[in-house]
Amino acid sequence: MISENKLSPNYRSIALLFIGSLIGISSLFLVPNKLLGYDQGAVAQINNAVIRKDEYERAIALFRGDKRGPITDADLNLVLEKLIKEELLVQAALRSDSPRKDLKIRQRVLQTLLTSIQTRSAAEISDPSQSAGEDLKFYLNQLRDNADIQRLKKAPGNILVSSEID
Amino acid sequence: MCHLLRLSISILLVSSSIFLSVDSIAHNRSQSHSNWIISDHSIEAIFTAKSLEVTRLQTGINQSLDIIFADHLEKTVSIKNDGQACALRNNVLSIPAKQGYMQAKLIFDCSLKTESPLINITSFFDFASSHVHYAHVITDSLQSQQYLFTEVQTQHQVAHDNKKSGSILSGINQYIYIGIDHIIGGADHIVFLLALLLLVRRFKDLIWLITGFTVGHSITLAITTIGWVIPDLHIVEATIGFSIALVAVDNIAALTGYHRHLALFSIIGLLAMAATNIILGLGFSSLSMLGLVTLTVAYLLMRSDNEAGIGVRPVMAIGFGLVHGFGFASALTEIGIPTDLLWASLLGFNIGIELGQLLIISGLWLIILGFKRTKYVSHSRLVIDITSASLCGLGLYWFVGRSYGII
Repeated sequence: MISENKLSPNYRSIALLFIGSLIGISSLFLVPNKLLGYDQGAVAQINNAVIRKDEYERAIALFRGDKRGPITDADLNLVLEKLIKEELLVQAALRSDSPRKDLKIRQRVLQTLLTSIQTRSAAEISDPSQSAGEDLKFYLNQLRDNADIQRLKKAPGNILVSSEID
Repeated sequence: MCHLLRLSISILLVSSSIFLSVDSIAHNRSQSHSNWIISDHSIEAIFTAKSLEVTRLQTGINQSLDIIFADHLEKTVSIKNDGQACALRNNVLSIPAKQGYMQAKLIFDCSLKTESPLINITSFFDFASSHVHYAHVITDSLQSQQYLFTEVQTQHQVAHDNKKSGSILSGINQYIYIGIDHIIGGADHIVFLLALLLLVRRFKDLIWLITGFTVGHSITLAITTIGWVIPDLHIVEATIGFSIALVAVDNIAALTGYHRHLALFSIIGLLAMAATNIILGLGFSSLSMLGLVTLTVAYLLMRSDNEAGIGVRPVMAIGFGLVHGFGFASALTEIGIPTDLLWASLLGFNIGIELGQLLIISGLWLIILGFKRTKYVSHSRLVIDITSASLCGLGLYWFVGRSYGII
């Protein structure tokens, strides 16, 4: 009887520890999904990416422009499905590293990005003395600051070009 | 009946402590920072905030985050010089930032030949009252200054006097506040200190524990800030959660003497998690999980050996301190450190961390001492049980949640 009384606090400690651990882990299921908690404006999540409400509404607006008559629920589903398929394809392309490896895609990405920066700069800079090129330079400097660039093996000056070999 | 009532109260306390903790995710606190360059005729600022932070500003309007961020800054950042507001040149320009962050550039036209500008920042305070903004200001004489903006301190007069602004002492002072603010706002560090303190009986043991933890975190804080190592923040934060759970389990093991049993249960749990990681391709790598299993076995079994167990806690505090130091460093590097004030800022930040730590420990120690003098002292075992169980649950919540990116 005495030994039982001595043991009981130990069992209580262990029981509480297990209850605490269980509640701690099960609380994770009560945390709102990232989709809801992090991004209130999301309408779908495809792997780690979300389709945002504004993106969805933009696609619906485009669809509305092409369609005669009111938009039905089936149309809304169709638009969302199209965005999901598009996202799946983009993810597949990124997984295969096409934007880096495929020269055509690489050129297209580069051109689109440059045009987007220049267009945005032109729209936002009212002072004609400021050029969009300055913002591109700034953009590149920012990218450079956040990148880990290591020049390996040979510095450009040491690489022989064809005329030097001849 | 009495036991049942106690157990029910205990469960209630454990549950409520965990539910309350859901929002107090350390390191995911609301903060942003800016870099300012002040010259004679203009003031340029680059604001950085986490994208997650900017989602607070969303009102459901069809706008992208960069536009919302730029609009918000335009309304909440202003500069006055000699009582006159400086005009914002053009619109706020969104600029590229690293993944998960947003950046915007503001340029103000100000003639500052004699006066010192007054910077006013109220960004995010309406949406998160605990938001903290760090501003790093460089004047035309290339002197660095740091300013901390909070809901109650939304204005700072930039020191234009080179002697005053450029002193190393001034740099240290500024970072001391940042260090104190970081540890007091970091729930996981406080929880870890509480877990460590629960079983401390003598003041001497307390000193050894604090010294061990301080030595550990000072080492990693320094080497990470200098740039010698670049830790994976997700692993660090998850491991901080694990350290809390392990110390809490150790507290219960020390009270019950069931070190081996608890080590066995912990290993089963960790192995189950490792198997999940392998199957789903998520979370810690197998090697990291093996490391945690080894640590758990070594720590709990060593603690079961009475002779070795006595001295192991301060040594383990060094190890845990190393992990927490990476967490402290992430806060410092996120804010950005001026190269000319690297050592001063590192020293100031570390002093701030120590002061904040001492403040927390003194408070906790006084509470523990006060409790020991009350008539409830006979229930101290129950209090340690409940607190350790709560801390273990909280530690596991952070460990598992951060490992899988759930929180």
